[in-house]
Amino acid sequence: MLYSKDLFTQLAEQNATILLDTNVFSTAARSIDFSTFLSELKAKTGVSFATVQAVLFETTQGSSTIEIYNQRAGFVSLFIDTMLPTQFIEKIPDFSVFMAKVNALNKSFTDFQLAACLYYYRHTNIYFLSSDQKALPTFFDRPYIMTAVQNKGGLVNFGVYTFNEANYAKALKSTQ
Amino acid sequence: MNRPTNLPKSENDKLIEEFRLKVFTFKPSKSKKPKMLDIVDIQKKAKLLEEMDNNEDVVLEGSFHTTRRAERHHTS
Repeated sequence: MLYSKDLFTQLAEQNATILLDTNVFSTAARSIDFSTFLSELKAKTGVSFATVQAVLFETTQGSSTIEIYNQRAGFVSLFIDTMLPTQFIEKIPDFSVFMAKVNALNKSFTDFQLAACLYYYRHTNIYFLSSDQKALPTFFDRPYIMTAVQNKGGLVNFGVYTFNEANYAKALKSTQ
Repeated sequence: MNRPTNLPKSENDKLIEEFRLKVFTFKPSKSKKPKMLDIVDIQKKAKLLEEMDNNEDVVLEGSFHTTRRAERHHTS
């Protein structure tokens, strides 16, 4: 596992929450390296892990039996502390309209909900962990990157994203 | 969504309204200590998921690893 030395010390000072994307769970399922890293990250920094229902839906998609569904959902629940509600989205129409303008090519409602969480909870040190480099528009910061080794040898790059108020304001201004 | 204002508010409506207020004012809680991850349990369940994915008799229409977004990192 490769990651910045500052990651643990900086997150430890923040009492942060990290939103986990679907690819976090699929990678954790086939990388001892990555799941061990997530465990250490929690133990050493006290961060809490969260996600949204749409990620759980994606993680369990394709389950052909209730047993498989339960196994996959159970795997997700091993990691997360909180399932964040997303009903607040109807309270942030400005953000929704702005995302519709600058992020129109990304049709994923899951990506939108995760972005909305970063925006809505932006004053609570919230981050988003994903290997999908196209999930969020560029006004979100990516202060940390890391590389995980899968059990079969493949590499997966992850980014830790956060909402950047100044960049958001700048991007908002440029679209008006 | 705004509810029609000409409907009388029942007890149930009040409860729903209270729930909505709670949800809307939700902030990630820091009062509860995050749980520690049980790496042994994670590995045990990961192995089970892998076995399920490899068993074509069980997995008919997809697998834990074949959803579009879950795999996007492999093509980006």
